[in-house]
Amino acid sequence: MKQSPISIYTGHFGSGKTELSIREAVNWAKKQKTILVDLDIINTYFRSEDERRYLESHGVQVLAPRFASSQVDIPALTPEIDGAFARSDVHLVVDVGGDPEGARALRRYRNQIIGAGYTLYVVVNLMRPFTRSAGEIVDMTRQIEETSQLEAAVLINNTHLKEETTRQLIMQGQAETEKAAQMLGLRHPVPTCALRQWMPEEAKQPIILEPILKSPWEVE
Amino acid sequence: MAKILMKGAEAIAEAAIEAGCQAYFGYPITPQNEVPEYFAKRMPKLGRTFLQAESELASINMVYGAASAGVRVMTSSSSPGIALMQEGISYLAASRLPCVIANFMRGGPGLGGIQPSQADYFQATRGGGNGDYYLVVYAPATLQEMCDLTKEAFDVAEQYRLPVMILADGTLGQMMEPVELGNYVPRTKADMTWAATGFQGGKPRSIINSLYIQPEELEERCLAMFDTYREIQAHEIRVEEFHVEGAQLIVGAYGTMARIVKSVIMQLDQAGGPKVGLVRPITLWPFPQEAFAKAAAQESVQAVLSVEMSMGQMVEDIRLAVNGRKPVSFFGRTGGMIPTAKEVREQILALCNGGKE
Repeated sequence: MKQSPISIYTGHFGSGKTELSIREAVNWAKKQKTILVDLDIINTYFRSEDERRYLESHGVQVLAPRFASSQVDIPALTPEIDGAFARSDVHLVVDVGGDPEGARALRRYRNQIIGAGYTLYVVVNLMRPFTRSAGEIVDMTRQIEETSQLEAAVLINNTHLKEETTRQLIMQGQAETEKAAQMLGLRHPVPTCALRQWMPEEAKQPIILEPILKSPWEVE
Repeated sequence: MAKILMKGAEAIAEAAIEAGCQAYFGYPITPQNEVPEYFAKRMPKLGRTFLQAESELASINMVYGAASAGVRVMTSSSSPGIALMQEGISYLAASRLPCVIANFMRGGPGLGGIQPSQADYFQATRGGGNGDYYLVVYAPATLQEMCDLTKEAFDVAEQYRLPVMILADGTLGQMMEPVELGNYVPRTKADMTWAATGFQGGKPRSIINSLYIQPEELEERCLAMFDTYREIQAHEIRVEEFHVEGAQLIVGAYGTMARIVKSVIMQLDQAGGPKVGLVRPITLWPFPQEAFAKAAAQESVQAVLSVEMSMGQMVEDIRLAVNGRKPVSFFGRTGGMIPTAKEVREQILALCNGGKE
């Protein structure tokens, strides 16, 4: 598949899109200059300087809402973000805030995004409320498309229940996400993502990631 | 029902819905905006009431109204919002109205910050409003426990006719964990004939009021409330004890902080370090005094340490419980900072090695 210069990650909050966009940005940075644009105006809560350091040490430039790292809850978007969307020499990975409301921030950059070419990913975790079935996944995807005025291209199955994830749950998520992709007329089979070291053998396009976001009782 | 992955703020809302919460009134504030958001999505579909009030003060008075009619009702907010509600909470307590109030604490005082904190312990357990009253205050440490306690909170509120608070912090509001719902076993339904539900052709008048001009009458009402509080103290205290027997040091911690302390205790165990026990109050009021007194009275115990995300509030209750029999010291961080496992371990090791206060 031809790679567009802008990768956009959307989905319900808790679907795993921030982890995924961080790791994808690091992968892109190995090939070309990459900027991670943090458009998460919904939830600035767990964003930390640690993630920024991690990304920068892997050659990714980070653009986040002003005040985000200072933890002031003003969801302002910086002029630098406009600048990033105007550039043609970089790959942009865009992490969009949770659920359709978060996709609103995308609309401001719609013309530049369409002009440059983009791939919009919708990350799905079947274990989350409001994406519990193919029908609900379709509804959420359509709402994101409507709010952002952009078109989804790829659904990603990231079904998990943290430490209690089983092979069965992942494949159940896979089946519902594929059904949703068919209903939406999108590419299928859909990629399967895992924020852990293992993956069911039957997963067709596995993406295995080392989780980097941790709870206070998990960090030293 | 199988487990699903919930954010704390969503989990508490779904648990309330399962417990039959008929109405939610609230006003958004970080870090618990997903509570009203979730109710807004779910309640209309169930034919129940979600209403975003114009302020926290309005919310709590709407809660007063719904509770007066015997309706299961809830509100939630975070520290500065809960501060605004204190007048209403005192009125609810005085009028003996059942309701559930959730506080996802953030850094204070004042408008403070948005990061997690435990600095509203005094406000929750000492009555932030005026007059002689208490709330039952639950302090969950996991999302599952928050769901289970929220459901029970509605029953306890009706059984004793008083407001019940779920005292969580920003971490519990924002983090995600698998939770199991659909397992609610209600207590025996309380007598609700006191509720103002209309004349119905001859029902005695229900007067819901907190104004009593005659001091004798007001004193009598307060004394009756305190009879209830004694009953609650006798039956509703909850506490978890972890590795307490034969410990050299007893740590007191609740909520998110207790999880960090527990992981430190397990690390120390694995490394063959000193034996440390944790007493984790699940009810902050009524406070598990006896658990602390007993744990500290053990001959093996040299000292007691309270670890909090505040400048030291629960430590006062621990000192009262230990009553001078062992030195009680404090460690905490505030303003939205969370003590790290490393910092807690250093504090524990310093106390175990030096026995210093």
